[in-house]
Amino acid sequence: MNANGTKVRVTIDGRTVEVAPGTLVTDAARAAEVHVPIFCSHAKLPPLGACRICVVEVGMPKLGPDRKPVLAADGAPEIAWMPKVQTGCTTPVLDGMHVRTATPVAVKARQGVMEFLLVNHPLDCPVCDEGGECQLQDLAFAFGADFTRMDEAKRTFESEDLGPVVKKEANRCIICMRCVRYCDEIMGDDALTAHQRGVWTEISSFDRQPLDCEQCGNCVEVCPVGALTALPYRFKARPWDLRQHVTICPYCSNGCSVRLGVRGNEVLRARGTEHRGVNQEYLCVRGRFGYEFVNSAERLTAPLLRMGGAQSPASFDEAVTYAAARLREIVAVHGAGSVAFLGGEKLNVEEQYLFQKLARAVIGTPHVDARTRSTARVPGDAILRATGGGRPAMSLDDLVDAQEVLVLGDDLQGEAPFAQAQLIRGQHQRGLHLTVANQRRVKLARTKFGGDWLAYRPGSEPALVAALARAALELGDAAGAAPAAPWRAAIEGWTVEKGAAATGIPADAIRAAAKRLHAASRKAILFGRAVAEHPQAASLLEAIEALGWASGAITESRAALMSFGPQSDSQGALDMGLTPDCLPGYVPAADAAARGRYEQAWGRTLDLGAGLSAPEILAAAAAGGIKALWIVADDWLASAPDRAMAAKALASAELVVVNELFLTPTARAAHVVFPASAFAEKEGVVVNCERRLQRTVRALAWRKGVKPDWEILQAVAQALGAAWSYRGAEDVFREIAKLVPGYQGRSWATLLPLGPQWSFAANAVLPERRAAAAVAELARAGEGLALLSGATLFLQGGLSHRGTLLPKLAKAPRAFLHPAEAARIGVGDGDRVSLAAPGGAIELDAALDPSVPEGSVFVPQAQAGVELNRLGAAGAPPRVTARRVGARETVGA
Amino acid sequence: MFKEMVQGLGVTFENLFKKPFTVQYPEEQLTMFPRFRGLHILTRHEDGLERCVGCELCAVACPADAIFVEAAENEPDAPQSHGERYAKRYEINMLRCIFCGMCEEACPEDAIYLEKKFELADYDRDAFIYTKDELLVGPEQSGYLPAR
Repeated sequence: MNANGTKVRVTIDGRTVEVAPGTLVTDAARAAEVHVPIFCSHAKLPPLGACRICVVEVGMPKLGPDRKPVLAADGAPEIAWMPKVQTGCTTPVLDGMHVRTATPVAVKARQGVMEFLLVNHPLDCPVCDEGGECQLQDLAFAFGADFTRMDEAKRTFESEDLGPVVKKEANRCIICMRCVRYCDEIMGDDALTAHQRGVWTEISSFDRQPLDCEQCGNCVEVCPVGALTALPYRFKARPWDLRQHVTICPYCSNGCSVRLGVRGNEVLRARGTEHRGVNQEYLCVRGRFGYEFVNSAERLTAPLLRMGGAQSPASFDEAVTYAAARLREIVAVHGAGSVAFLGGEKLNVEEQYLFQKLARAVIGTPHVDARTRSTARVPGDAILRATGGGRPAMSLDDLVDAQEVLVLGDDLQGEAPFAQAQLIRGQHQRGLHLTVANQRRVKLARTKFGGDWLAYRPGSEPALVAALARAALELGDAAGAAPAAPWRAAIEGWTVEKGAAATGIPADAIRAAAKRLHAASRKAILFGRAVAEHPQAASLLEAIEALGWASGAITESRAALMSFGPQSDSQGALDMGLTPDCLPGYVPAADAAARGRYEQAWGRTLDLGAGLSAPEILAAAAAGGIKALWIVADDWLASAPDRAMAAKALASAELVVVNELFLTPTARAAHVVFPASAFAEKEGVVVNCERRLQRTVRALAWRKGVKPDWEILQAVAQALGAAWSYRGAEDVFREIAKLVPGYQGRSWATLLPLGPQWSFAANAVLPERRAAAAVAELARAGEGLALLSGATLFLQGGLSHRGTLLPKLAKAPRAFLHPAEAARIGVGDGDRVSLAAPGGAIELDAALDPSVPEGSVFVPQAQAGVELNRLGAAGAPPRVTARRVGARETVGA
Repeated sequence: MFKEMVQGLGVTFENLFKKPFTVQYPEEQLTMFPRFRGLHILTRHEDGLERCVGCELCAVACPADAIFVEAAENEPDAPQSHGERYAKRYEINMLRCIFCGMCEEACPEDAIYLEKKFELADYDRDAFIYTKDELLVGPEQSGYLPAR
């Protein structure tokens, strides 16, 4: 659009602005601070011109026979006005264009449009939920007449509930088509359509069924009137009742901004933030309706202490004193190495920093790990290296403009809904091509998105990545692909054919995918927990780095890879050194010279020895080697790879301290439970998948008895004799900004409205490392079905199922089987099946789903009642034997 | 001097035979002027349903922030008001109310009126928060709207 960087000058109501060529008149008017009303126009949707409320007068300088502007008597160019008004939202500006918005002609035209819009619009503003924030209401005040010339009855439609989220009142609809277009072009769902024609046009679902979609509620968000309203918020409040706080969503790693509407001390709704945040108006179903847990009556309100057998409420000071005294005893008797710190991916970076500082500087233990779901030891900087080693990262906005995107292993619908929406929008509007590597035919792999689906064998991600990297290397050296590069070790011994044999994907398809990626000038490689929590994650992440260099996704100056962590602040946990081998800022803990800065700042030597990673802590604790565990914001019994082992570890530890919002099974097993603040009750900084630092703000007053994690950590540290004196989370961030590479020089004030993406300063890349072993070949499939798991849309983490709407949308937990596979093992839709592995068995209802490949069973994570880790740490990929244990009828109740 | 005394007594005698202005409150009550603004009432339609739909325009118009409204959806079988919405909670804090009548002016449904009752003294602060039960007129007054 603006290839040569030239700008065009346009004059709107006498104000001259310079904008990029191709800008629409309405956008130029916004730049000139002239108000032009809009309904159907939307920043993320192509111009439509359906509502015609934005009509303005447009003119160009009159040209004489010599093609020079004709000058009027006062020397100004004479303007040739177009004979009729034009819609500003479909007219691109031209150099020298003049626009008049307030002339009698334009105002009269707008009043006429307004009168037409109101011909059939009911006068039920007092009842309508949009009242108070309705654009039509505002414009009717501004331009509308206070009488009507219509005697005829208004046309009426029945109102409908389109599923549990959307209420439709078609009488109020002005047919701007925003909802239909948004659903199609950005959500990729096509759930809404326009029935009938002309005055009888009505927006509804196909066949008027409940909406079969992501239930994101974005149609409600973009509706400029009250035609679509949100059922969960129905009649709860008026916009003027609500205090609005823009904070960051606590669910996935996309880090969307949400605008919480608070009345009293209760969150009543969450909305997108027009013109703010990475997401702007977009929110997924979790972001929009997942705030319910904050208001839950089941929240913990007082610390719990286990004295003797049962847990009983205690005061905060008692709990702090007890925890500190027990920690001191255990350190004195068994040494600091008998204490381990787990979890913390959901905390703000300030709290994460204090958590590891408490472990390393106060207790003196190296055993810190946030990645409690890992089954294998993964270096703390592996993900950073795989995403370009701290080079400037791509943003979620860049995804829309990418030509080729490779999605590796994860279902973005569950892991990163906003990233998925960006890809769908790019595919729909900008010609983005998708290559989706997934065992299942996930949403992005559907044929409607025109991408390529690489359906690899369960667990063969490393082989696929190695083959792709090899295929990319065959295409010629990309920039920076030095023959001696350390990442080459990860794909040593692999060929495209070998990878094709291991993954079950034809070699041609692998070569074609690598070629597309190699050829594209704007590309991206996206991955998530399917990679980061893979049993071979360490070498797999190096193979991804190899693919990045070989395909040109990583260059010396930039990296176009993005990793979606499992929680909202997983990136922050890595940055803040919640890994056994890295101090904050990826400073190697074993490097005496590099860690000097922390030794100086924290006033103690950090020669703590080798730290255990989460799976090693699990094994050591179950064996009795770890005597004290501090678990923060993590239901370890649910997240640990082996539930039986975790239960044994919790039972055999002498002290278990848990910071939690709810009395989770892990908290029930603890000796000390500190009730912690929810995301809306504390402020701080979180880091999203783009490595963007974003401020969260406090929307609610602190609950009685509940404290933010940083206060709890500070209180215990002080009780242990540390001279910590942070007055607020901002003090902690000041220390981070002083010490941590990548975060240096940041301050809270610079993070609003949209924080920056951190990257290492030029030449300050990560130290060289010993190359990992090449990715190993997969063992041949054993007996039974491959157990696939992953995130699904409606539930994520340990908080989403605490509300009412999300569990209802997610329905009962089920085991998804391909119809052919189900027939083979004699299981019908809805039957009870048992999934058994050597470590244990679980029972679930079966559901038939052709998107699951044959020879495997898919069980979503994060659903209350699905405890996959009861199966024990099964092999890679885990295999289960499925058996029908009950008919559909017997499990109905 | 005598003249002045006669003048003064003249006034006294004149008033002695006039009808007194004072009334023996509380035994005797004055009729309020038509536009007097006292305690609010919430009115009903002729069919007995509440006029208030819980739109909260009174609450936003109130300069003293004395009105609290929480709306809810009508049960289709047993509606409280016409339309889908009604006021589940409707409370006026009479300690804050300044009897300006803006709520009455803002109401699009003729649901709230400031009536003539002015004896609002009480022993308990909480008693000054008038709830919907206290404000809503009885079913016998269905269709009643004060003259304005």
